Amino acid sequence: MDRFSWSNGLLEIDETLVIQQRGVRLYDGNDKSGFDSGNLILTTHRLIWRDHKNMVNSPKIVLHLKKALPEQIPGPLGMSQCEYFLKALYDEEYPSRHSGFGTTNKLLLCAQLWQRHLKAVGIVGIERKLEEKRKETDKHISEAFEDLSKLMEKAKEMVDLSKSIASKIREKQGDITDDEVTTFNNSSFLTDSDENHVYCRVNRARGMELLSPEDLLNACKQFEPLNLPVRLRMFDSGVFVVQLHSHNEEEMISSATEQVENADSVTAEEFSKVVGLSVLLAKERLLLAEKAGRLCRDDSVEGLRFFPNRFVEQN
Amino acid sequence: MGFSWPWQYSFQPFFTLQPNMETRQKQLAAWCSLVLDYCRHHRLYTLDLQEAQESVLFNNRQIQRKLPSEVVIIVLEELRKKGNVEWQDKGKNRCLVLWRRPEEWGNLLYQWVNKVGLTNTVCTLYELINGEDTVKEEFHGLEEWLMLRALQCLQDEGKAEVFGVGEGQGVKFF
Repeated sequence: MDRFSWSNGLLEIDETLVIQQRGVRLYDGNDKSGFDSGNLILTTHRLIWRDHKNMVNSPKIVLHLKKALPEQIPGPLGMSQCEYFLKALYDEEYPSRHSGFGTTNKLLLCAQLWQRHLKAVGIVGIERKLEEKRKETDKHISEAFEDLSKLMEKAKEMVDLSKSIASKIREKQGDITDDEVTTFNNSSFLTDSDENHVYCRVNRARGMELLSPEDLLNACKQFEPLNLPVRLRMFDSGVFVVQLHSHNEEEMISSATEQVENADSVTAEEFSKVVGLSVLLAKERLLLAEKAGRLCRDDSVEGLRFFPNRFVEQN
Repeated sequence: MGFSWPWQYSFQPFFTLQPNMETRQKQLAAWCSLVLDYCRHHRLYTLDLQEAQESVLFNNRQIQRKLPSEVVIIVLEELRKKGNVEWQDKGKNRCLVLWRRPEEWGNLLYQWVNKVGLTNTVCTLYELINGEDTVKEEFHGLEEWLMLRALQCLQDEGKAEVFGVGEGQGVKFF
């Protein structure tokens, strides 16, 4: 029953009546509905049920239905008990001008008309929707341009502001000092992080007084001369990493090998999930273990996978 | 009897040239013995690189891995250094696979000659390759060029002398 929509019951201009039957009660599937004793009208476009009273037990017609369309205008029943069919019961006592729904020929004719009509609706409907969409896009675009010009005004203010802040900072402190390195060291809490992460974390911790990447790198290079518990190291691929001095390479290789053995084989992505590192770092560890002869690789269309080095183990 | 593949053949990394030098040496060594074993089993004496690329030797369809052509050449070059492969053209498209080197064939032949007491006798090449007496020997059905090279080796050692030309070629063992 959820396929029905409210209507004024009037026919549209190109719509003509095919058959009508008085005294019809609608059934939602097998259940009686409150819509009884009405006038059921089959037109070239739709099936209309108009209110009318009085009803007894009588023959029924059953309509098999497709699913309701999402854009349907709301009707008397939001939900239907029965998804697939609708029954209409009618009273033969009522005389019918068009000799009633029993006439199969007329119904067949009407079915053809409906199908043609539905197709037309389909294409016209799509065109109408496209037109609406285009209008909406136009509206969005013009709105966006307005926003943009406002934003540019704001940006100018922001640039001025940042310039003034930068000059203030420069006045306040000169180049980076050993002191700064220590501060930075205290504020970070690293086990094994790549330079990008370090840069972000340090600057987040510092808030306003931001470090430039060069300063940070230079600071990291002072780790060793200052004998601090962290070290900067460069992987073969050129990636810089800050790690604890106690972070033993051999241990790293062993644990990576062990994990690969447990998993049979891994990609850098899979390994990064297992060890909770970034993909970049995870790959560096795998490459390190490969360089140490503990892993070997399978480079195929499916991607780069690392395996335990059975070439060496099995000999 | 079917060919028994080594475990490496179903190990995916076997088909990727390993960047770690130590690993690569082990990998190439395994490839070398696989190529020789495979050719010995199927009694193949030549390899056409393009054909070999598609053959099961370098192409394991079960694990969908194929040894890239440049690595095939590396493997064959490795075998060339050991004297098991000889290129037949400069473009390295075809090669001889000497899964037993000519001097090894020569030794085998000479052992047999001594066993059956053919020293100081003249034999034709045809007899050695196709004769009834050699049916049970490994060199039975050996390709003629290889037999000649084996005999050449024996000649260099003073154990035989090859004479005659074309089909009438013969050899005298000492």
